[in-house]
Amino acid sequence: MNPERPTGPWSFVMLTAVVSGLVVPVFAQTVEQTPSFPRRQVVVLPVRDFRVDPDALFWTGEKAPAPEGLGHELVESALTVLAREPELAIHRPPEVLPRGNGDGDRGIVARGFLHLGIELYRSIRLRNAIDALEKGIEAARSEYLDVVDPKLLSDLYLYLGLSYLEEGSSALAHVAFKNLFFVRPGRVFLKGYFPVQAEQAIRAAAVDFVRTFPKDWPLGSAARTSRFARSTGARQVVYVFLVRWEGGSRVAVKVMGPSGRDGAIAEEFGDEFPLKTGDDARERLSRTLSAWLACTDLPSRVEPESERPDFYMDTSGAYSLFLKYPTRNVFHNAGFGVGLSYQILENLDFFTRLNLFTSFPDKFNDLVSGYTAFRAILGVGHTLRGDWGRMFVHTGLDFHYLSDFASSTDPNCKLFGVDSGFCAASEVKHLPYRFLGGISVTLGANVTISGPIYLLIQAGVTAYFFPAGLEAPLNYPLTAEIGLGYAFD
Amino acid sequence: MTLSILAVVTLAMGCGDSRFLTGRYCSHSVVDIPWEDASGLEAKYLALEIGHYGPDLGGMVGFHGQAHCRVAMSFADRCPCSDIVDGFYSNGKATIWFSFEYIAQEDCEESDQSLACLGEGRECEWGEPLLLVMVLTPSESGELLAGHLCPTEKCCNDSECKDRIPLEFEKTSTSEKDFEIAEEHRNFCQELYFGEVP
Repeated sequence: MNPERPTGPWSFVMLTAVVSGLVVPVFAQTVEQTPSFPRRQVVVLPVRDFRVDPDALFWTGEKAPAPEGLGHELVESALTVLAREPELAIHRPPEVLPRGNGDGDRGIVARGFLHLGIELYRSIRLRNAIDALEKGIEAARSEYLDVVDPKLLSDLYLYLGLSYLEEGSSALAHVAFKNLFFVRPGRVFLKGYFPVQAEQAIRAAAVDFVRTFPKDWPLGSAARTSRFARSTGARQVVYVFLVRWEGGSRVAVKVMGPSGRDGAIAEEFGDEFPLKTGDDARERLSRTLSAWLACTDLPSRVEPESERPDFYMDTSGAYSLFLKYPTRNVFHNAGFGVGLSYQILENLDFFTRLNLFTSFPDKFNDLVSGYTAFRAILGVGHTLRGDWGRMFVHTGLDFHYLSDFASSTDPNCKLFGVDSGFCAASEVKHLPYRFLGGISVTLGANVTISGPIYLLIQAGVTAYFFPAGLEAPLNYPLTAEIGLGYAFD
Repeated sequence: MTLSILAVVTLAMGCGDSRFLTGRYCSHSVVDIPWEDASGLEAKYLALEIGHYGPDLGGMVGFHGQAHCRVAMSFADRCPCSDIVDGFYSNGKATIWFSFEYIAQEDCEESDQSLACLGEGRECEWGEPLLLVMVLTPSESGELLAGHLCPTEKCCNDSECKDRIPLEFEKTSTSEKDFEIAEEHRNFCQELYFGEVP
């Protein structure tokens, strides 16, 4: 055994290192090649359990009953499912909501008004208390404390309701108590802490809340939900709540997004299912959100809206020569072209092109009678478009009409003319047909000059197989065109 | 503008020096062909109506009674035309074959003379068809042609050959009058050969 060669565990370690050194960069390169898309912001609101039991609002004993933890579990489940999608950035409200005064203490104003309102309420300065509490509610709502600190906002509503009640405005108190339940539906109260009249009013509000209060919008209305989405930069807001339904409970899942008219926020996706067990609810929630993820317009799935023109129209000067010809030297053609192209898809266009050519004498004048040619091409092409214009490869059917084509090598036919007696008819070769048909391929570009005006440059070749096959004496015209065009929608 | 450029380029590519001999030439002096015994040809000015297309030369040879070849041809000139049977331009030299037959009988009717020139008349007697060749070297501009008229090409290329006759041609001017004369002569020769001009 060679003592310098590593053996046993060392050789394994070295082998592993070498393989890792090869594999890891390859893997890293693969990861780097994954196209990056902007991540879409999504906010998951706290789950609200609207299964308020008016008969269990007031507790007795030393300690309030512990709230059910299902809502928290469902939020975590939703966050877990959504976080699997790399094109989404998932947030809870406190992470994305701007802090009101910039001093880092969210809700300080509302809390101040709450303390003031409570003091005034206890001092039986009800009108002042109501004013303070309403200002507090306004401040709290402006900071969206209903989703960040619902206890604070629910306290404001509670004391507002109590103040209204003391003042004799039972209807307004009823509204305040219902808002309390909407903000914090799981709230319960120590029995006997409030006057009997207040307890009755709270219970009545709870009954009304359960039966009539609209719960579909997480922040009370579409407009406020839309403002919330804007202030957090969220494109979608995920909202889950539980309600009583026909003797049981149901879980409602709603994804609010800009799917309404003119981009207004609306329910983009929703589902409801019966609440059986916690595990089942989490599973169903997971499936619901996965279904939404499968269908939603993630950045990688959204085709950017084309702002580019659909029609391209041009006129050009055209030059053409046949690569296969019966004369001894090549002869040339020049003329005009008119083209129209319609962009069917981003990378596919339909086009038509018309050309009028006239021939020029060849070097030895073998082309004894000049001819005029009309040409039409119809087809589709692949395009590559950008702000600079577009490039294209056009393939199409090419129809070519020649007024006459006669060639001869007899100098007398050239000097005296093909109809002269000095020119024997046998010395002049005419094409036995006037129509040619074939397939053309053209490569070109429309380079934007200014606005809709562009420069056209293109070159192509055609193979005529009709009527004489590819062996026809006149075949394979090579054409180049340069011109100006106009692009429009 | 694009089209203009294309046209200029195209025309430039199509032309060049492949046709620079094309035109009408007239001999400086009368050409006295010594084979007149066989042909009956009298001394005449020779006119060359040349179409030059790359390696090919075509056209006709005319015989005129006066200098500059401006006199209208007529049957009075006897066979005034002969077509170029073959011609080519190579290595800076133009080689032209032409043939003619002359009326040998003085009393041949004028109406038969056109046929006589073509050897088709029956009333007249004919000399043997005579095939002659000219080997000419053009000047740089193509305005002048200098060379020899010979019974054979070999003779023309042999300085010792006694039968070759020196020739000098000058391109006729391009005035409107000259064009008219050239056109008239072409038509006349076509009529002579083929009847009515098409």
